[in-house]
Amino acid sequence: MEKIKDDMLRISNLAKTFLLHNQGAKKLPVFQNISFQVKAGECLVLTGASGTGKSTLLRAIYANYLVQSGTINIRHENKWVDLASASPHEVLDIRKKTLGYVSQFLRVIPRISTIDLVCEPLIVQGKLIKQAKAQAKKLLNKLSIPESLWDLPPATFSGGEQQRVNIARTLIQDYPILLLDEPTASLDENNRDAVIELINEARNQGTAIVGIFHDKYVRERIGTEVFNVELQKKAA
Amino acid sequence: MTNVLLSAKNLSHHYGSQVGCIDINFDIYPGEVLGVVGESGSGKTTLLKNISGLLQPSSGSVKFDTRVDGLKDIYLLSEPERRLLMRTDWGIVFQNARDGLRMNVSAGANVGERLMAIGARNYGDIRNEATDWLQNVEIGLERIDHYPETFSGGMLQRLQIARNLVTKPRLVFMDEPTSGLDVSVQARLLDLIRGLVSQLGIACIIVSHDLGVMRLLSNRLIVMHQGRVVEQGLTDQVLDDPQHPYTQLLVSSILPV
Repeated sequence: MEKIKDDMLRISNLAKTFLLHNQGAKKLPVFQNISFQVKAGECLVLTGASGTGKSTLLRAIYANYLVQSGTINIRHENKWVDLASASPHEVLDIRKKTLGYVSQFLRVIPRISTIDLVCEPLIVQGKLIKQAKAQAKKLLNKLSIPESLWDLPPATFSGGEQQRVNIARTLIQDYPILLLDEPTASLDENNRDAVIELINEARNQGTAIVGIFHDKYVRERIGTEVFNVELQKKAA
Repeated sequence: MTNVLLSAKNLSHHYGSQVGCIDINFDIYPGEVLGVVGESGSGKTTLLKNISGLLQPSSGSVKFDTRVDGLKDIYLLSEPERRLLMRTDWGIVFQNARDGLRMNVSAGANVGERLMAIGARNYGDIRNEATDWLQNVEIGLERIDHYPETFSGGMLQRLQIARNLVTKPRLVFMDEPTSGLDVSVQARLLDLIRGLVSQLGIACIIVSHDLGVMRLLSNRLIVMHQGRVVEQGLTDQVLDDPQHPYTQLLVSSILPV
């Protein structure tokens, strides 16, 4: 019973095919028969060569992509919800409270300052602006974003700075489940280590993580389990 | 789950033999932003008029969660009841701000008028509220007594938004609120709408053909093509993994900057 209690995410028989109507109804199968579970405090690393569908799988788990078959069960407020068949309202609620996602690139919003962008998830949750700002400042400091940049919109920042803002925006909240798509790809060593530390802090507090990390150094420091998407595809 | 705020069932509209929209079904919940996209002539504006009480649909029903009686068909309400609804719980932001404003009274009066329509009578209070709202939409207070005629396009649109939001409606309909504005003005307006909607928890139905606007503002998206809804779902899912041939064409037609 103890074991069942620990599961946070259960993926079962997931399949994804893109159908491109405007290119002669071309079918692009990406994966099928993908099944795995992730427990609280685990970090499952998705591996496989580029183009095997790791990012697609991560986006499918976030319900950003629709899947053709299979289930994505998420432990949301102590109930199991299948994201693959959930209503848009349920998906939004799960994304707000349970499931965080760090994409490869920051989606900049015109005119919104870095600090406001990072605070936003907490404000949406109903937290006081003052508290949210204090938390955001702490996180931006940890990620070495210079204070002089906090009041600027991140549109003009470097790739590495944008990526760190993106990470801060998700990690500011304690999501029970985190999906990470190469969060350290364009970071220098110091910043990479700061991000590793933050992710491990979350994992030690019981966050279940599914991530893609190309860098072996990062994989070894964060990952606790490995799932090879490529092998799974060959087996299926 | 909270109650449905507005519900459209089997809604169709015909202009003689011309099709406006066909068999539209959707619900909107409090605090939610619903986007409607589609090319010109796809029936977006007809649908918006149908559901906002401006144009009775040829068939089907539009129900709204009224404060007193719960869910009621808006076209079965009496004329005064419907007018009251439009003045209190609803706001309509027109594509052309001149359609939603009174051009021959001052900016302050445009905002104050809606307050008076729901019973406000104290001149000082009305003026204070109007002042607050002009500040909210970033219109300088020195302009409060000026006629809208002297305002730029972006200011007119912001004034129209202030006029609509001053009575704290529960649902706002917006028809292409940012089209015809240059991009810097558009960014400012989007930022403003986004902030106000989330702060006040207003539900919003926004019609636009600008997918960038939709990604920024809406939670859910409805895609219309030739009068029908061809796809609906979470905004990011519809834009990143479109299923219908028309949506795929629409998404792949955006020019990258």
